[in-house]
Amino acid sequence: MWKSSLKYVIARLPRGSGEWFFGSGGRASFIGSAAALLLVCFIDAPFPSVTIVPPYYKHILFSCLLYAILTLSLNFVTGFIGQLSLGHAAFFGIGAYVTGALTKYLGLNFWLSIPAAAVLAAAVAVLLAAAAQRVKGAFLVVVTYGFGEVLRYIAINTDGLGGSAGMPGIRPPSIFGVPFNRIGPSGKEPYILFAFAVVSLLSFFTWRIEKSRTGYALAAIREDEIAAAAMGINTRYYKTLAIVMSAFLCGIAGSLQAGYASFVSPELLSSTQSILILTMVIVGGPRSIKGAILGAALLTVLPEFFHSVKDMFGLGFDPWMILYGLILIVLMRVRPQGFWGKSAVF
Amino acid sequence: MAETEIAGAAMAKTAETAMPETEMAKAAMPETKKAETAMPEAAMLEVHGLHVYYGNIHALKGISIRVREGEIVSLIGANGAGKTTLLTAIMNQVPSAQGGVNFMGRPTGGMTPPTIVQNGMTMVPEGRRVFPRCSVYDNLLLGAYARKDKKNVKRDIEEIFESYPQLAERKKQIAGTLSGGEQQMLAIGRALMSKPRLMLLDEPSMGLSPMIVGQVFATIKRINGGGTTVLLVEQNANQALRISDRGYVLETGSVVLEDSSENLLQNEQVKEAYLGS
Repeated sequence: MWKSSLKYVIARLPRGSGEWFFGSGGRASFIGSAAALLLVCFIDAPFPSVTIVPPYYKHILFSCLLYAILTLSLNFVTGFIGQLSLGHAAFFGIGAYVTGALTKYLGLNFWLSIPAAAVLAAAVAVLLAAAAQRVKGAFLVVVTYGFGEVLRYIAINTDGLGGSAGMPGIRPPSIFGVPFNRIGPSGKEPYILFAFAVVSLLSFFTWRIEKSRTGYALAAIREDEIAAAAMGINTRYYKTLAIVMSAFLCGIAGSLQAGYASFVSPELLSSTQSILILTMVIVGGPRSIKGAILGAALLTVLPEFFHSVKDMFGLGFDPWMILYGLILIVLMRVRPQGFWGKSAVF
Repeated sequence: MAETEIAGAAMAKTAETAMPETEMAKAAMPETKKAETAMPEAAMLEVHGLHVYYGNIHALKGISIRVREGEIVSLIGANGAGKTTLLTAIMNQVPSAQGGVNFMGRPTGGMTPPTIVQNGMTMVPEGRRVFPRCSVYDNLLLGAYARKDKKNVKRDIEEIFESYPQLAERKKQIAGTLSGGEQQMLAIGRALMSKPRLMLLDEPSMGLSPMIVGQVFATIKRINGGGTTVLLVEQNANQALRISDRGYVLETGSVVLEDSSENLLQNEQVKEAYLGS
């Protein structure tokens, strides 16, 4: 019975013609990666005595997926309307703090805190969108940077939010009364699966929106705002929509991070974080769904890999710090549109 | 209203049929002139006392112009005279401090650019401004963005391709890779996709070779023959006045001269300042 319903679902998944998940064969790659993920998560479950996939790898896997949510969210701004933002960590941080504060102080259910986090991040984004109506390009970069820093200082200087030390002891989410950290061999598996579900839905959503009326309006604004207005496109509305949607989704990622780490700190809102997300988008390729996911995965896995190289050879320095800059320079020289970018956006 | 529309259509017709021979056009001109004085309410676009400021700069100092249905009206003037500002102010893309615009008898004061396009006025912006990384087809599709009758959009794109075969050949090509003349045709075709009753054209000849300029002006004339009223902003005063019915001369934010195109072409001041002869 469950087999036939699974077949029903699979038959209704989008086919590979469009790019909505890794690779060109969208449906196959989605099913394949979902299966691989389940295998990685639960391969250790039947044999508690041996560890095939250490929790450390699962942590990296979760980070990849979390950053993929952030890059796909930022893609609404960089990819769709072609503007750079250095303040997106702020929305991520807002989401994390909202979930932290609501679950800790008000005892609110984690699941209910997600919409609250997303909505508050979106509401704050309306302010940023108002600024984005008047400035763009390098000026918007400065505005978004300042915006993120202001929010970080607010977090640092608010004692109720833990100040610069952050807010520890956030209770993990639970499902049917079982806390997330009790499910699976390492307790990270439910988070991984939840993040994967969000990434999948977000990819699908992005893919659908690209070929929609909204997608066309956003493309026109990206290509030429004055001409777009002359065509009767409400540029104010669509720019606000892109920024608010982006912040909304970053807020969800923040909630997830708060639940996963059971800790939030002002570091989440830092501009380093914003720069990292933006770099991931540019490395992977703006306007590309698989590019956004790839960028997030690359810049999460590579630093960890080089950390282990450092330990392995007992180096006195971290090779990643040197290679990082080198890789970015070479990539921008050879492939300015990013790995999977369609064409240069900026 | 019905009467004025018939009058407008009749005017368009006389202008169109008379055009092949410039001699006849000259003869027909006084008649249209009379019609204009007899029926002042026939104005499709009426700008009265428009003031626009950019910070401290007083860009438009109380401009009043009228465009009647079926006409081609030229706005000529040097750089910085306020021609582009006037068009963007008419489209409500820049705020005006004083004065107002009536389009088809309705004030556009509270309208946003999208509602203006929906009401039948559209602009071909300066420098063409096609969407450079979208295909020719997608550019045309975006031109129909404000339309409510989605069903007819595909048919209208085919019509544009019939009228502009160069565009049809390059249907899938990325618009940024077209030549300047082709981009201008695309910009005009895109504007036509919104089914405008009044088209504002901002310097369509800018940066084009003389031969292509001739083609662009012939296209404008043809669009006008098809029933679309045209307000044309140009630095190429000679060509613009040749295809238009009337003209306004702008200087530093004010209208300094207003006359039929025939008369403006003969006017000594205009000749000296703008026609280069």
